[in-house]
Amino acid sequence: MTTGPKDNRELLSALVHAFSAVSPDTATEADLELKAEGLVPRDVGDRFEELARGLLNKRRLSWQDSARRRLERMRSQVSRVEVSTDLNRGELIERIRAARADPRLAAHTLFRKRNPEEATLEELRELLEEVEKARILADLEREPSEE
Amino acid sequence: MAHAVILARTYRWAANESAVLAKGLSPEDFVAKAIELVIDGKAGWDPARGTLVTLLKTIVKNEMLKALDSAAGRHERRFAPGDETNPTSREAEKHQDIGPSNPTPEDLICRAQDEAVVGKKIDDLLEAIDDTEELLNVVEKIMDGVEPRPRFIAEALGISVDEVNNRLKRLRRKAADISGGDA
Repeated sequence: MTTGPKDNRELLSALVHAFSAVSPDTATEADLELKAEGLVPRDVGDRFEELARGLLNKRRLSWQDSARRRLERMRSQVSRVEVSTDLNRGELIERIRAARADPRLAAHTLFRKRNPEEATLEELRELLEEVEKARILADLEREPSEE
Repeated sequence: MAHAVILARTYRWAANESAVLAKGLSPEDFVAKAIELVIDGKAGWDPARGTLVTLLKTIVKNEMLKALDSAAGRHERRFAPGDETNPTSREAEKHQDIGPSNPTPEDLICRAQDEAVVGKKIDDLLEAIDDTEELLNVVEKIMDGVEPRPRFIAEALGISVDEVNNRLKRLRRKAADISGGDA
């Protein structure tokens, strides 16, 4: 057994619910509602289209700016990588082996073509430099997006 | 946008003030905000849970109710997580309207009105439809406790939902006319 509204306030609320539940069925009907509010339907549509376009453009530009900043930061960090000439062969190999054990770099192609033990000192420095760059890139990839 | 206009008029009628338009906000501003929330991804639109239009309507409704709540001086109220009276979390999450079994924001707003003013409003509406039996029938069913949704009213009256929608639109217009065409 249903019970009706207990007072006028509850009835008012029920009427508000009922009135809000019904939307215009047709575009013509919707236009009439807008006109009753003193609005010009076409102008309203144009304004919302412009708003949506502006927001979408802003979003796209925001994403591009974010990507650009990320790229610049990456280039800056990578360009600063330098392997000290003080490191001897054993130290270079040890660091390269340590990098190999790093799960972020273990599968890197850097290690597939080269065997550190057979490389010259210069080649080891180059390899370690590339490894350090790869590590920076891996770190940047793990950073959450700015968006 | 037409839906926003309808809501604004309905709430203006119910709250007996232009509270929805407080702070210089128009129905258009609420629609613009809804569009912004959706495009910014803050509305969390999930196509599997409802259409975009439904979501936009829900956001507009929630934002208007919040404005109304704020204009009525209840803006200090804080909603706890899962609070059923929170218009944003509840409806944006479910993408659907909720019946009056739990206190809704609409209920809270209507409860805050002066009983005498509300009584006059209801009397004026009933007087305006006194000679229109089909509209009186709808109001009577709501007074009898039929859930104020078109399909339940249609079922109670034994008529189509389309016919109920039509009658509710006419009732809404009557209410607007009573408030000088501004409600």
